[in-house]
Amino acid sequence: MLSTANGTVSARTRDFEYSGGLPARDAEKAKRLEDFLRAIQTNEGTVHVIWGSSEPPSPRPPGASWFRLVQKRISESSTRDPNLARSGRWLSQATAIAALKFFEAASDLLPGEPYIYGSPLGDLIAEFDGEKGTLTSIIGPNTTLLFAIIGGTPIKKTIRPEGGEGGLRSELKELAESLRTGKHGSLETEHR
Amino acid sequence: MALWKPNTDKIGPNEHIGRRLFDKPQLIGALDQKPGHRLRLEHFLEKRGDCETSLDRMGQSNIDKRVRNYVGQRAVKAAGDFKEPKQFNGWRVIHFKFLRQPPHGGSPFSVVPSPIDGTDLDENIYHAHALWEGRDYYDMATQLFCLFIEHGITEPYRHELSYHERWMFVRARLLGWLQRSSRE
Repeated sequence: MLSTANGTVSARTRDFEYSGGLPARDAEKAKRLEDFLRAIQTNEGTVHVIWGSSEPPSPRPPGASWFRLVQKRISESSTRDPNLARSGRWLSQATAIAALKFFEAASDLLPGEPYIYGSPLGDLIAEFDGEKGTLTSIIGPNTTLLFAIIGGTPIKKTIRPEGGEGGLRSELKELAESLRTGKHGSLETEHR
Repeated sequence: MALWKPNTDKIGPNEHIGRRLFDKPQLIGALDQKPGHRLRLEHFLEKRGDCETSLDRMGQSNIDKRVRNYVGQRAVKAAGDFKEPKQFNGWRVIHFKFLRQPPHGGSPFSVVPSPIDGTDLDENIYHAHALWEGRDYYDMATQLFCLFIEHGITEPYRHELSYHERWMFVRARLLGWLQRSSRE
């Protein structure tokens, strides 16, 4: 079943759970999410979007121009079969949802359209080219690893869900700035 | 001049070490992406369960052409032996000193000779392993990726595909397309 409060949406079925941002009264976005959930749903239930009104919508900058294209690529690569998910051609539902949340939360901060692919562990890898370096995001259901090479120096950051969208955006802002200017500070951090 | 016989006890200080570059499967929903020739993290990701990264010893003090041809033939065969055949595009090659003493201050890599016994193209006397030594799956790959991209060079390898190999590629692509169509 799926329920919402203004600004967020939570969905839970037998096999997966989604909780993330969804601007209130954005019917088009809700429809896309509903279509996506329906696409990955099997025969054991249906998905309904129910609008609530308990929280004010959180302001978020508009997504990057390439966001919808990447969203489509991820959604169309999602599978329920765990064996297929590690073939490099498909993503598990949990990984696809984590990746969609990642891009929805932060596409405006990323350096440009990523090249995406699956890892042998079933995670989604997104590679970006910045002005002064490269950024590689490894997105799994529970953790996101950000790995940048700026001026030949590796910078690694681990993002855990406890940090929420704010934690992800703050780490990415720092990296995006480093990718733009070539200047960087810490070598390794973990955001909890 | 005889083909270089590598020391099987240790890697020489001036050896050149190569990582094979195979093309990788694309996500079924992202077939419109163009992979290009950029070195990617995926080139340094091993299969699940492996605890060492495969490398080729490319020469005693530079990239030895005869060694390159020897290893290249084996890499092409290995590319065809994958469950889903791949294309072998060459190597990213780095001087061993960068692995032994990473310039950005990371931990040194232990690279050990690991010759593969066999007959004809199944044998590879130039095979080596980089040991993970406590690094996790992505740590190993990202550290190697960083060193090879910053200090390595790409050594391409062209191989004329046989009709059978071409057919296997077409078949693999076709099967992927059919899987995708059946889902839609």
